[in-house]
Amino acid sequence: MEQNIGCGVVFELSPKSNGTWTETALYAFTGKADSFGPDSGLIFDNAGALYGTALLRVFQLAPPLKQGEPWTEATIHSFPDNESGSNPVGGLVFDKSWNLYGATYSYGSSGYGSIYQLSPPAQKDGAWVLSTLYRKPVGFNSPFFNGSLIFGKWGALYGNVQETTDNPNNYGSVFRIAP
Amino acid sequence: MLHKIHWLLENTPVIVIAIVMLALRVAWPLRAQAKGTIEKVIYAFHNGSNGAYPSGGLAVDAAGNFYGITEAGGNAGGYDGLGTVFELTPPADPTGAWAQTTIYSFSNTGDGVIPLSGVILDSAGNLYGTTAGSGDGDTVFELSPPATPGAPWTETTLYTLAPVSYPHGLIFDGHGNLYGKTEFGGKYGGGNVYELSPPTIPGASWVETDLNDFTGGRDGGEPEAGLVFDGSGNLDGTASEGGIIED
Repeated sequence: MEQNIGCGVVFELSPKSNGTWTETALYAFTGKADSFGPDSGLIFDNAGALYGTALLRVFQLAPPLKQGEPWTEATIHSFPDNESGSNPVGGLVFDKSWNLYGATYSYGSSGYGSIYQLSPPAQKDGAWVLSTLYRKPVGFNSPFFNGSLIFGKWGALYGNVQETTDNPNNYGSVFRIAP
Repeated sequence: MLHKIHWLLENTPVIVIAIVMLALRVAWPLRAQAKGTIEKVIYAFHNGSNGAYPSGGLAVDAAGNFYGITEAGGNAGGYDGLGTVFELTPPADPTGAWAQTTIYSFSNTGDGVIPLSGVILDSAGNLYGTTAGSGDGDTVFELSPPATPGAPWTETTLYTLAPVSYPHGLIFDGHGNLYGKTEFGGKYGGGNVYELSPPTIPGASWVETDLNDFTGGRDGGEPEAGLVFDGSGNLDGTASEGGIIED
């Protein structure tokens, strides 16, 4: 029996010679260890693997060795909704050393928003290493990071903060995390 | 004095351990925050003409200027506004102040309201983005920089989608075509991927082609973010709904 539990997919559209495009679901999230609801954009590494975020997860989707075989999903970091951050927001960005950077927004009981770095494993099959670069304090005025980060002037990371609607005097800002 | 020297000799290991422990206690939080922990707000929005609630990502040009959108604020639609596109110009050194310029305020006069997902730049310095929120339809827009610094940017609505389509981020291919996703548009209302091709005659309309309609089933549904090209011309993206895991 076919069951659609609707946890989201990573898809690919391929152009055909007749001008139409064919859609393929490269990976369907299960709602289990891989979480659900991928809602970020994707980025490629230099090996053709895709990276994105789902609820409380940062995932990697590695292409098959042989055409037609399935892509392989791996959770490279789970946010346990604590001081290291909670739910990822926006997409990811690589630096020149293939470290990933992203943001989490205030969420859950702890409510920490953070800017994080994930460093690739030093050895094959090793774990990615999380570094919390900046952590927003919990509080009435604790702002939400919003959108993807970008590297800009002076090699710093920049992004948007969309303030909580609880505070009518704050209308958001653009911030910089210095290296 | 001898008593003190004797006491020091007897307790040196304890004292050393205590000093090391104290040093570690002081240094630990510094180590935990040592990397990239200096946050600086480079610009704070205060509603009105300069916008409110920045959203989506930022685009950066070769000079280090940032371009982005605010979901509210601007010079039209009353105090809360209908959204803006802004530019942030960097200072000469990192300690200086960034200069904000509102380069466009949406007015719901065919140009849409509430820009959604940031903007992208082309090689000529034109900006492209989307809006969602007008009953007249969601839009894909272009903003062209003025020939004279300080003059207004020129907004062109490239295409009007159905209302409540919720178009998200855009991406160019190498031929000047734009690609985007809608969250609720398309044939089945589960979102779609579309292509906008530039006119072959200057001044003519951009041509929209619906590349894929999501059903919300096995193929996914409600794609929320932008697209990315792989090296073979395929478009990849996420859809937050749909998908089948058991047969």
